[in-house]
Amino acid sequence: MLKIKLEEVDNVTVGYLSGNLDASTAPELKSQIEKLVDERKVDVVFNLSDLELIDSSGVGAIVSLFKRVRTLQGDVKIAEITGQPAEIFKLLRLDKAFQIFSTTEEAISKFRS
Amino acid sequence: MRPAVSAFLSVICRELESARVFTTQMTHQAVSAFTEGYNNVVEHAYSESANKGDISVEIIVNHDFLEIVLSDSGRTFDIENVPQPDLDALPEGGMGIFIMKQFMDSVTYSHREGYNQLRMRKAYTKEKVADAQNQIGGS
Repeated sequence: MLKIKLEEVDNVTVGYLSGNLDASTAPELKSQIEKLVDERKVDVVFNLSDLELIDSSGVGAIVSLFKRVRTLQGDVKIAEITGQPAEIFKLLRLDKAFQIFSTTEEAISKFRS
Repeated sequence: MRPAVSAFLSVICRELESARVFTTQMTHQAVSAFTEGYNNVVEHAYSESANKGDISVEIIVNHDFLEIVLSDSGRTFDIENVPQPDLDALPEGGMGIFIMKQFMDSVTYSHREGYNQLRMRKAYTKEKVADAQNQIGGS
């Protein structure tokens, strides 16, 4: 199961993901992403502190959003990633592609600078 | 069903951590590999609606390693000819086999008597296995 909580802070969309982002739940995130992009909300922070598991399908959903918002001069930043998701990000070298922050506030502040 | 088995595998891995033969990182890696293996069965072996069947999962706690065996009766998958993902290109798919192979010590796939079998093995951490011999498997 995946829970997605979206908040808007200083024109940045903060997505709190909790549970499992896997093959069965990635389509749910993708549909939320479609809405964000349609509304031109292209500055996004994902807080992954409560994300217990991510698989390659979940990674695909986040990478897909990353690529789309980049074409619209936006960005996706990652905050508070730990545990199994951090392990996957490291293996797939996503810790090099994404800016990763230890707090959500820090990630949001980088959009202002 | 996958999250339930994944949770069960996590419990076993935590026990191996308590026995000091697994690290938390190894737990994350084993759970990741299982998840990708299971997804492969659902997405490839049983991808056609007319071709549904059972997935059998065995988790074997050996004296020297943890083994996860997934069996299905679906379409056979050619694991050896899956191209390596180009990580610099930020792929959105095709990473499952790579994750399994990177996170486990051995990944083998066989087809026999109508069943496909994916066998993934992760050896216990070598530095601490001697300490844990009294805790896992006796002797």
